[in-house]
Amino acid sequence: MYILLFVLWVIFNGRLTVEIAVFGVAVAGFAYWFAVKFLEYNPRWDILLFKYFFAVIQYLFVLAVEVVKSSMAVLKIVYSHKIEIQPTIVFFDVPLKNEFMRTVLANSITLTPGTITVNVEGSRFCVHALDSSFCEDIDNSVFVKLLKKVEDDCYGTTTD
Amino acid sequence: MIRLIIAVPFILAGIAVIISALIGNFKFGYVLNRMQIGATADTLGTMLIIIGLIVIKGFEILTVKLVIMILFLWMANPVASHFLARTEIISNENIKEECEVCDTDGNI
Repeated sequence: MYILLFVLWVIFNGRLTVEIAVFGVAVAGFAYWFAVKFLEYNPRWDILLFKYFFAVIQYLFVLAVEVVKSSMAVLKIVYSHKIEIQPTIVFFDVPLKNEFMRTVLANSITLTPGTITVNVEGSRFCVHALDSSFCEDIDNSVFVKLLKKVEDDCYGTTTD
Repeated sequence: MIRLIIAVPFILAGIAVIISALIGNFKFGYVLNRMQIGATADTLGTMLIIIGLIVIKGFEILTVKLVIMILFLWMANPVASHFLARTEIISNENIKEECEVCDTDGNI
């Protein structure tokens, strides 16, 4: 996290000199201290971030592919005059226990065109879908599988 | 030059997606359906345009900034659409006239 903040500072500056590096160390240190003190950031999550770095990259890639696929489906609905849509609100349970994982799943569902997460109560998700075909397989989607794998892996090592 | 030739289809596709979303917004009447169409413009449209810009610029520090832009848009968008959808569903009394409410098992 500290390294990420420092890299972000350097990227925003656009070049790397001694002066910028010194200021960067100070600013990144302050931001990190602020996150730990006031935003309830736990330094142990740094290790988890390093451990699951490739999982994060893989997840982003899968997300982009899903976005493209469902966008195509939505555009097909826009341009066809024959298809009658059936907007649906669907309730379902997810097998994830971690709050963070649930948040990531809810955000992914909302980001994918055609589905919006309306409410999350405990493990019960409430999702609005543009057409009933979008929510056919929603409680067993590829996002759930990926997040479940990481969570199962995670539970053995930490208590978070 | 070769970069421009690769980038232009991306940017044109992005613009086409956003225009399609605009047409879709006029085609549907109900709020939630319109939001679903709008999400297409937000995600796929901006992604294609920014990919096009990345290809034009080549790999330098600006590329990383553009990637950060995509990430930020993708993190901030769902929050806004979630709140709009939730407000609509809480405040609309006749929600069942607009859409079917069911379980994954098909129970209503």
